[in-house]
Amino acid sequence: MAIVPTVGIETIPAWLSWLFPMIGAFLTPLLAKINPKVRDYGAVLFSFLAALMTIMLIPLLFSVEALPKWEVLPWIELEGFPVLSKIEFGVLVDPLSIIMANVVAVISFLIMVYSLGYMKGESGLTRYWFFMNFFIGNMLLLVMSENLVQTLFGWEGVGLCSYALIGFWYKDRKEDYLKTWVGEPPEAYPPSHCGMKAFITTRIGDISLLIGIVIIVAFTGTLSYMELIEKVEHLPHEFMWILVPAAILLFGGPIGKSAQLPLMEWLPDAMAGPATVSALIHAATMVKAGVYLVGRLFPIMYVASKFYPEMGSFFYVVAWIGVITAFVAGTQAITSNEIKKVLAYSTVSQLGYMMLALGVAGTTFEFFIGYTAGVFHLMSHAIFKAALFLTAGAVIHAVESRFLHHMGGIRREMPITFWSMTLTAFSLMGVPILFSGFWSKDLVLESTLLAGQPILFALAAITAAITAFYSVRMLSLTFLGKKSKHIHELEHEGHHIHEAPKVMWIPYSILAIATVLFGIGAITLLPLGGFGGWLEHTFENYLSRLPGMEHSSTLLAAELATEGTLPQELAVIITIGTSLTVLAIGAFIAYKLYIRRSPDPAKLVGSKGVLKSLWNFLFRRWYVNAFFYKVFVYPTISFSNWALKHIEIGGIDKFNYVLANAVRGFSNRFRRTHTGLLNYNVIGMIAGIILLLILVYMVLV
Amino acid sequence: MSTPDFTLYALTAISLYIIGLYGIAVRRNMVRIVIGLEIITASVNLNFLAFTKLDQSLLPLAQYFVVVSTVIGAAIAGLSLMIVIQAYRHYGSIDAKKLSKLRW
Amino acid sequence: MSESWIILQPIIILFTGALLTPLIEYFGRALKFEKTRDAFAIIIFGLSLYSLLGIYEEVQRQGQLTYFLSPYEPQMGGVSFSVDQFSVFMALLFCLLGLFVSIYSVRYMEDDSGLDKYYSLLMVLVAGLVGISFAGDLFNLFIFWEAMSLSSYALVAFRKYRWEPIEASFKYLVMSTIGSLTALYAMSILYGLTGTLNISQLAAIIPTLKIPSQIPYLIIVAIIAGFGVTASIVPFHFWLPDAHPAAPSGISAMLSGVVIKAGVYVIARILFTIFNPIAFDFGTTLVIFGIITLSVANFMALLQRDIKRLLAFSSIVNIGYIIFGFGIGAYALNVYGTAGYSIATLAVMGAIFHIFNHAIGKGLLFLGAGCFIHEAGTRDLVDLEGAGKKMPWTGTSFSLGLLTLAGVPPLSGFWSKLFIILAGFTIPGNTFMVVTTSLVVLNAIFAAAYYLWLMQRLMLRAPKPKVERAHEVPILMVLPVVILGLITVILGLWPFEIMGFAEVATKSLLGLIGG
Repeated sequence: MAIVPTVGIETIPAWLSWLFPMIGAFLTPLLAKINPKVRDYGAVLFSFLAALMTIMLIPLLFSVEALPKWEVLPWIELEGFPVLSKIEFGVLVDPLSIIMANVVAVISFLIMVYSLGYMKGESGLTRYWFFMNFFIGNMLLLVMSENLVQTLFGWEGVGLCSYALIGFWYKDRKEDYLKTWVGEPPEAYPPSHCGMKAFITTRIGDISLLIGIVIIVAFTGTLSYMELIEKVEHLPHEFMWILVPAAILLFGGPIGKSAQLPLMEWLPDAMAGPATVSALIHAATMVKAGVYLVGRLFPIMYVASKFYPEMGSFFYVVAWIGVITAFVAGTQAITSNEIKKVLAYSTVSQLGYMMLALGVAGTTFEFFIGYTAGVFHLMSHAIFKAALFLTAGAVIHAVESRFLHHMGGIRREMPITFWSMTLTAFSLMGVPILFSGFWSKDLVLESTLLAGQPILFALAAITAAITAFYSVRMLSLTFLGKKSKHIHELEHEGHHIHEAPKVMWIPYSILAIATVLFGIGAITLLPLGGFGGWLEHTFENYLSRLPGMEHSSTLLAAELATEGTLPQELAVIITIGTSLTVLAIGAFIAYKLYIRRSPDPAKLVGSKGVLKSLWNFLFRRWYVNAFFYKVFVYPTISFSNWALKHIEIGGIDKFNYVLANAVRGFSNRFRRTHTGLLNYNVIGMIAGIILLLILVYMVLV
Repeated sequence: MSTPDFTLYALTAISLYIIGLYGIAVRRNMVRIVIGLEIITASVNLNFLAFTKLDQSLLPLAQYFVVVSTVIGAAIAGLSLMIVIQAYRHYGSIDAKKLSKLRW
Repeated sequence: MSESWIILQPIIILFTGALLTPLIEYFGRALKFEKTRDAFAIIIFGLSLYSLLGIYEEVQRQGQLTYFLSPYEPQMGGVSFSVDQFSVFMALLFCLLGLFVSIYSVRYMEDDSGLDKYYSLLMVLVAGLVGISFAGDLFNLFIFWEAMSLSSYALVAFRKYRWEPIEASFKYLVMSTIGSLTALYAMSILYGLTGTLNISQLAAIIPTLKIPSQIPYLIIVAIIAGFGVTASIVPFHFWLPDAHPAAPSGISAMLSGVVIKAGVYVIARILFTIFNPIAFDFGTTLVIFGIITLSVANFMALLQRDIKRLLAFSSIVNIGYIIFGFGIGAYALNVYGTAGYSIATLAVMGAIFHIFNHAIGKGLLFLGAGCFIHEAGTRDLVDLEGAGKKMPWTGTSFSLGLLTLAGVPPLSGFWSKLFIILAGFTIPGNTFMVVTTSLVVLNAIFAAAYYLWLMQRLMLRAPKPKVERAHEVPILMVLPVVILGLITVILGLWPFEIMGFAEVATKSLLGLIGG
């Protein structure tokens, strides 16, 4: 049963959701001419409209049978073009896009409101609002898009905005080192550098994505997601082998955009941007685009895998990259000295979880469990990580520094911030029952068990312990303990630490409450299997109606039945038990080290020895960053300097000078032929006549 | 009496032309240069008439051409001599070699 | 063919005007209004332009127009006028530029004396030019040619209280007279051989002549050499760099813009119409001389310090392009016979369009240079640096002129050069064409060097002391400059009208339409 595109009014909110912010972005310079306040509020208004549009799509989630709503408009007709007959432009409304769009739009709106307070008094705000709105528009375009090319537009658009916003303080002023730079020597980077780094690193992923798209188009002749699901079954068997490399190349894009290994290094350094940017782009939305794309491609690859079992290796690649990234990034967060960088590493780590879930889902019969786990964790991570970044921004504002060792003991002065951060950090750690993070993370772990992958499960569990460790570390270093010397200096100068303004703490407390609500919602909806269960149900209902997926029940089950999966109830118990255990272990160790201060972490690590080298190793980010710089960046820079000196100046410019001088010299000599004497001129004429005669008579001969 | 035939006239015309051209190319006296111009005019007129020796019917129009050409030649001579006089006022001599301030 | 005396109208108007100008001057003095003669001149030019438009429409309707001066009948090769699209094209161009120059001269020449003679001579000049384009037989052409030449000699020497115009005018006179007499010599041989000087009759008779083939080529040589002096083909060009700077700027514009084009026009008319390019090979010669002209003039132009002398050499360069264009057309017809008509049309159309473009552009440049000189009082480039900044209108139009001659799109000069070069490159197998066209391209790039350098000097550098006191010129001087600049921009963006006109002119020149 093929699904055909239709035109209807239900998709109008989908179109408007990305059109409104785009329009808002372009109106921003005009509004700025009227009044700065008009511009600020106008920008927030447009993001509000986007959120409104996406919320209007939520009721569709409850009538899954009506989905997908797929609408296309003709765009480029390519007659006579080999393979590809047309490129269209449209929207695809299905549970995945509805959920993602809401996550993006609502959190964006809250962050825009927070920006009103956070960015107050900054210069260049028109640029800021423009790019924020443009970003939201592109992100929603990406989410709503119905084909690969349109996704690519949104993809590149958010990349551009990310570059511009990370490098917002592009002037790289040394005075702002404590607030706007990132890293410590030898890896301290100014904002403009970080923007460039983010852009180039994700570009590498984008190239791989583009090659993957080209291969897909060449072999299937279509770019549309829905059509690909159908076409992939009918692909002749001898061409099926191309799908694996194509899929892995396509996955290259998410590796870049979602900061997986080996392209993860841009995300920690993207913290040079304002906290709002970090929250929006690097926690809640843009980095999720990679996960989203994998989710979009999931049905296509899954259907392919039932006809071509080697396709399963694609899913294994995704899962393994996910879990290794999660582990590595988690360890890097342990030693980080900056509050936002801890959160950045944590984001990378959690993104790894999502990839793990999606990858593992593709290898089992009950794909919808892993799929749901990935999407659920995406949602809950967006909420709590955005809140964490926003609170971190409030703290940085208050303390005027990004470093953890400049903070401490500000719990009494900033209570709301403290509680928001604590609640959301608990969600991150996976503190049970009340927090959505617990439910989503457990679903991820459960899906790995159900897929029969104990190693992945173990690694994910260890990472959970590490997550708990660094979360507690961060909380205690920021709010508990004694005030740092830096704070005492500030107070001495008259800057007292106080709570953030209302326009700032309202958004993040809303998010903190939301994370708790989703957690509670998980319990209260227990008859349905909890919130997660409801999601599972929805996805199962929707995905199995897609062409090709319904057969999976018989074929794939037979193949995978030999994998030795556990019965569901047993898996749930093991998962909950394991996660509680690792949570306790991690939290307890951190508690001992950072709250009780016995043993003192600095003394424990010491200045030499195994622990110190280990600490160095983790602090220098497993030397991955250093490796990239040494192998790619510095050689390129020195080559370009060399090329400038020798090729550009020495070769090309020199050629110009030589040529110009030669011509001038010749010209100077030649000028003497015009003697200005009439007699000679007439002689010249006679010579001309003779020349003419010669030429003309040569013709005759 | 026997009239000289066409070849003689034609050759004379060409030689006059060359002489005139030579005069302009070699002589430094500006007046001589103007004379050279007039010699060339004469050669052209002669050439017109030379051809009438070949074909009598050409004569009426040829006469017309020659008369007009002579008038124009006179105008040129007049104009050029005026310029020579002005040149004398500026340079103090009628040596064409002095007229070489405009060069390169 | 019909008898239409309207052909004579512009010429009559202009000659009458020339005769009446001293009278008007007298009236003007009586009325205490100095500028009466200037106004009169502008009116006369306007009227002649208007009548030319009438002729244009007639020609569009009827094809070629002819008019005979009785009592001699066509068979006798009487004096006649014959107007086809090419003639109208040129005549319109001449009159248009004449009009602009007279508007310009109102303010530019106001400090000179004897202006009644100036305007008279200008009218005779344009009358001669129009007569040349309308001439139906060679002697008629010669008469108007001499009218044009004599008035131009006098105009160059107009400011006779300075040494420079005198020297320049003398050299100009001598060389140009040699040229026209040489051409007359050729005409005499032609007349002797065929008994007629009527152009269309000559075209019919020449192929049938039983003469050794050296003779027509001798005539061709004499024509090219003779008219080539005024057309400033190297090595007959030595007068031009002296005469054009020495003349008052309006006259420089006329000289560079139209007088030398008259030379090219006549060469084209005689060679293409009378000597069928398919039968006679003069294309190679024209091409080679075109290249020589281009290269020599480019090298000379590079290091000039006098702005008008640089522009004068640049005129020679552009004549090189035009001659090259005509040459390629003739060559194509000669080598490929009737199959070469498409290439020839393209090349000749490019050349004719370039005549127009260069006239507009060079007129613009000389008038603009005149504005700068009028304000700054110097012709030296180094002293004129930054003049464009002080005089924005003039400076911008001047830059437009430079760019259009450099062949920068979207200005009109780009199109004409493109056609010529395209025509040259159409047949990659023909090495002669390819090699020569590549040389043309190289020269075009070379020329761009000093155009851009001049533009940079004038517009982008800090003003020198002499320029400091300069301010924008009076509107009557600036107006023609700006209008010419606008024309070049508009035609660059929408060249199709003028291209059509040029194409029709080409076709009638090559004998592809009508009589």
